[in-house]
Amino acid sequence: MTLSQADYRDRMTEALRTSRADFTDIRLELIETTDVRYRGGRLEAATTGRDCGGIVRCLAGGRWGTASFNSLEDLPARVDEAYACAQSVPSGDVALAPVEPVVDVVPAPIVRDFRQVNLSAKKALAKGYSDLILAQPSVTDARTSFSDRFCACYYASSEGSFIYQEHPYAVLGLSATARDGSEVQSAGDGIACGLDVGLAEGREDVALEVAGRAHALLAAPPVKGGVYTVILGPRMAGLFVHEAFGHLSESDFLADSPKAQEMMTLGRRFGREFLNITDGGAAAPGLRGNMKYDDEGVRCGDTDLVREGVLVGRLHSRETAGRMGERPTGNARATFYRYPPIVRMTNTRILPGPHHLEDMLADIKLGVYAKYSGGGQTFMENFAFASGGSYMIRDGQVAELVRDVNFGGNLFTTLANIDAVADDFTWGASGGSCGKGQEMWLPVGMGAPHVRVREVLIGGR
Amino acid sequence: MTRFATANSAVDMAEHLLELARRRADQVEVYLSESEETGAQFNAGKVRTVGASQRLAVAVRVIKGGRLGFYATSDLTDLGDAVERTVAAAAEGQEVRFDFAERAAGPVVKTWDDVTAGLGASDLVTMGSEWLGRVAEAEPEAVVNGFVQKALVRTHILTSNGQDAVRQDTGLAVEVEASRTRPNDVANLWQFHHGVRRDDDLEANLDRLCRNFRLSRELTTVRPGRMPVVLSPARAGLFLDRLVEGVSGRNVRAKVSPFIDRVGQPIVDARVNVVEDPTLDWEPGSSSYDDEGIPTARTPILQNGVLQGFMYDLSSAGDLGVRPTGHGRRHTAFFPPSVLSTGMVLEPGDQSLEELLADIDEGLYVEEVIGGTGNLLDGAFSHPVAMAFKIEGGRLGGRVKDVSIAGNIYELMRDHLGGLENRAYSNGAWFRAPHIRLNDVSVAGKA
Repeated sequence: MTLSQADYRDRMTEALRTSRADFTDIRLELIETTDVRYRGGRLEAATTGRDCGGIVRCLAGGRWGTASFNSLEDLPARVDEAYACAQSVPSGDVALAPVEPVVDVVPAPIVRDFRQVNLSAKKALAKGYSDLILAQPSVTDARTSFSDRFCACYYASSEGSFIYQEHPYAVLGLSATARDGSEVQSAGDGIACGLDVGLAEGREDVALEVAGRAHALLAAPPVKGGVYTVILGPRMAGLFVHEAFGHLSESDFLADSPKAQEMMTLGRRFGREFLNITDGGAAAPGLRGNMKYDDEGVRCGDTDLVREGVLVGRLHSRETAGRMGERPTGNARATFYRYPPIVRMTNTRILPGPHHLEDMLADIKLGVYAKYSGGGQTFMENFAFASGGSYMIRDGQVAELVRDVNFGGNLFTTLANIDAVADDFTWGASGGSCGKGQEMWLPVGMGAPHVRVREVLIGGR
Repeated sequence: MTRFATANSAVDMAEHLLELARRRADQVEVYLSESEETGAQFNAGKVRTVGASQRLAVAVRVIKGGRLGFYATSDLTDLGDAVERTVAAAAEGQEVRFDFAERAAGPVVKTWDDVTAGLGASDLVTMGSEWLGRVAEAEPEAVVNGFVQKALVRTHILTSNGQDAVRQDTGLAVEVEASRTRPNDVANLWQFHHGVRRDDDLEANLDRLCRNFRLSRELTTVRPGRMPVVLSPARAGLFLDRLVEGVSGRNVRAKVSPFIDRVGQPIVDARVNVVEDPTLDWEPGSSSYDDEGIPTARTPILQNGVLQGFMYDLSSAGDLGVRPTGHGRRHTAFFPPSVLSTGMVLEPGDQSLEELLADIDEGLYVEEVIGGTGNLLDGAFSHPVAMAFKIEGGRLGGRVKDVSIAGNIYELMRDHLGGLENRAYSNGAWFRAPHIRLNDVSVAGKA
């Protein structure tokens, strides 16, 4: 169906007018996707899709009811359905923190638009990298992909907000598998290029790096398990701050738990004076987690979480801010229309510190330099993450490549054990995707400088 | 037994799409998925949200000139446009060496439960309050969150080769997430369970969660080194996740499976039997047909430790010149089919859990691990534990934190299998497994 912005606005406003709830909002999303995948030089998929749907939330007597749907035809009926759901909650005490209604149209600041590149050209791009990777020594399999998703999102609330935003996401994915007899090793990387598809072109350097790393990992010994001083590269440090710290800053975990609030009391010292952590939807241009407004129409700003080593803030939706008597931070996000928004990060970063990388290395007799990231997970105060390639540090020098490097630890002791933060901040170019609860793959940004941590437990045989 | 408000119009639509597309292509497949869900979300033990969801999406595949076109959409206002886009995708699609499913009847599998289908929002609130209440009773200090969700799902797969496969499933999904926070000590336990209906495995899994809370009140340590490790049924994924990758026809085609040319050879200990069986009644991943309309069947994977065969979808089977085994599965309508397991069973052994633990002086019982998946193909793993307990003098003791387990699961299951429990439990998703005892696992930690 082809409707104008004014048509959507009229339909949504009309449906909101019928609501009997205290507060109602509607989010509609029109999503166009393409996905091109090569494996082993062979085209595995060249697919396109269109996904349209929405969700209505009603808050009635402190109780939430929601209705999600694909058909945009009968919005008043969906509002009724959400209201009926709220009525079936026995009792409730939800109170949203107040915000000013917003009317705004926010087109994405696109430089070169991936929607202007046809499927054939996207195939050629992915195929070129696939061929290059497969031509490298020991490589037996290559997976390359170009996936994009353009989401046009309409938001309207009974308080008078109406916002149109565009969220373009695209990722070039490159990975290599090398094999020597029964030994198999893989390496991968990704380039986020949602605002500028040109960033995916001419990246032979990245393709050669993943192929070379997979090859080198074949001969690399597994790291010996134990406790080490570790230097986290910017990517690993960004992943660490997201996984270990960021998730505990999400106030839905705190709002109902006095004990957890005690643990995360503002003013508690978490690290040394050079540790600063922030989250924000507009931290720098072109980041994966960028948004002007979150999924309940709240303006995204920068939120200081740790300032000079001390906990100073946390991330909120209107609901958690209302419950805790704080201000919303614009962190209510949903992966797509199927879900109501929950508290999520946007772009999380460790700010640059006063130290130099060479000095940080110099006094390490035996340690690990975790350069490439391989994914992470948090489990409350416990976290874990994997490195996709690490080096031993011997006598202050970066030495041999090692594999199977997995870190785990306790957030509080690990933050306290950060004894140096370098001055070489970078945002991760690959862009991350975050999972929480039932919802996977929410685009987020992460950034950090090199960070040194004492006494890190590394698993190993 | 049609229970979907839109079912008749959806069937008409699928047939109409098939007709439109077959005029433009050599072969056509229409996959239509419809669902109605109702769920109650609990925060801190209380229902805060009730939600309803209606979904309808269709995926069309065509083969034209030997190339595959795929297009998926939930915008069903213009079927002609959907066909145009699918045919356009075929011009750029991959070359294929398979045909869409032909008419064939699948086994009869029970996946629809009238009682579950009839549950209303208030029933879900009552059930959730009961289950979460049990956890709160076992651990009064815990903050308990979770949800209970009922789903009715109807899937229709039509092909121009005559297949007309319909599946109707009920689903009852329960998530319980509970944490007890003490200064610098958070015990977080999580259980997700998905069944066709209310089943005994959910009760058993919740009992285990309550037991774990009780055990976790006391903190203790183990001496790092090699020791016996008992994996909870949920952690059998350390083995089964890797096994599925190894026997996937897609990985055989890509020549990265470690099992190529090893059918008939022993892979692990002779006490290990694994079968992929989506034909079992009342199991959450069971079905009469896979997502390409191929009838499902019981597929032996390991018998007495010996590799029996692989799992194929249409695409991998076509390229390798073998018959598809009914393992073409889609995450949702928006994903093309791939090889996935939906019903793997690690057969029980002959010892009770108490007997498995009995002669362990010092060991580790692992309920939950965190972190990445290691190397899925070669069997290597390395994970910090999220919830683990000391085994001491043959019994479960307090919680052990800040240790990691590592090894190669194939080597451990081959050379160091201590035994398998005599009962298997559903993990609430795609496999069923007993407790597994491994005798010589590396446990790293701060000494």
